[in-house]
Amino acid sequence: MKRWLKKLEEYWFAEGPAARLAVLRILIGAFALQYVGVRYEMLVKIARTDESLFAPVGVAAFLSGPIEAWLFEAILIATLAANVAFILGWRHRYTGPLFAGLLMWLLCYRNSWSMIFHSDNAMVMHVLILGLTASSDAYSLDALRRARRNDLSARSRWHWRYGWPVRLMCAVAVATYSASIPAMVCNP
Amino acid sequence: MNVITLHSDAGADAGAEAAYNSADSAIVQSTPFGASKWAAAGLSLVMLVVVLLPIRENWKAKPKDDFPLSYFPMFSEVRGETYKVTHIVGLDARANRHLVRHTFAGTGGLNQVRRQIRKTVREGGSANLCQSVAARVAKSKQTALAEVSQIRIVTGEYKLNEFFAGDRKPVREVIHATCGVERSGQ
Repeated sequence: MKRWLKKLEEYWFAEGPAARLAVLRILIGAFALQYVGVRYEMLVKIARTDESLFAPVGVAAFLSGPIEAWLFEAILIATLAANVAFILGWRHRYTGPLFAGLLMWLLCYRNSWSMIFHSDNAMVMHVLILGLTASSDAYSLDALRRARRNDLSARSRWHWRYGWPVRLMCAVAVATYSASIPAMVCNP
Repeated sequence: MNVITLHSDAGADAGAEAAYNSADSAIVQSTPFGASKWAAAGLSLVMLVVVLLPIRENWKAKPKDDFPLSYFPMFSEVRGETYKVTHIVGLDARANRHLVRHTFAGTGGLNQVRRQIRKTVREGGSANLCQSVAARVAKSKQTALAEVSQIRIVTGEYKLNEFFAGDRKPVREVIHATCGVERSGQ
């Protein structure tokens, strides 16, 4: 058992470069920015949809009805601002979780109008992982600031801290779509 | 000293950063499984369990889909030979059918509007929906809709193979509401 756990630990916490995780942060952050950005007008229109069609899901489920359209637009703008901070890796310790939370809320609200878009799931989960982990230790304003102060460069540094988030992102992507396998195989 | 963290931006100043790095290195070297790893392992386990939890919905009498945690019903749904869809039909004076785009009924993309039309009809709002679509069609400058004089909200049942082979006629059709398109100047 101990040997098995040791193997699992070695696999899950294998060292990885800070730059790899940072590149994922930038790519996924950029994807999220264009995904939400090009839908800006549509999202604002959706927030003005007839409230009889409102069927809240996810973290929006606590709402008894739709929020005011201006408030939704303010949250949308805040999400886009946090998204830019996420890509730039600015104050990631705060803006990372903030962006992950805002994006989660925004897309839950967007999916609360009688239709769930399953194509958003993996993106939200991946942003959540990147927002909660050390994904701004390279190619970021945080790394630049730290390098100026301490002459420390994490870009080429390898550490388990940068490896497991990538493992988790892969595992979550597989688990997400594996959720339908029992139904396909067992046909309950 | 900052040990139980998943972020590296633990300290803003140089001292904190140095302490952080040395503390983390010490943990990795001196103990087989440090506090930071426990936090990472805990988060990993929680996320994987949470993502897999919706599997239970497959065995429920009334499964409920959610976001972002879903059981992806579209992958396991039993598909029949026919498919029912509630949609808009435009008719001209000779009763020819015209395609009226979903954007006349709502916003948010084809699939969202399709679901919204179905929900509106189910809840008895087909007459209002029909009037609203007819008013928008009347104002539309699309030449393809210039001859449309009547709007219908219908549920059509289509044979998928035949539909995609070119036969667009429904096998069955239920009309929920009919209303005229009243253009100004008529």
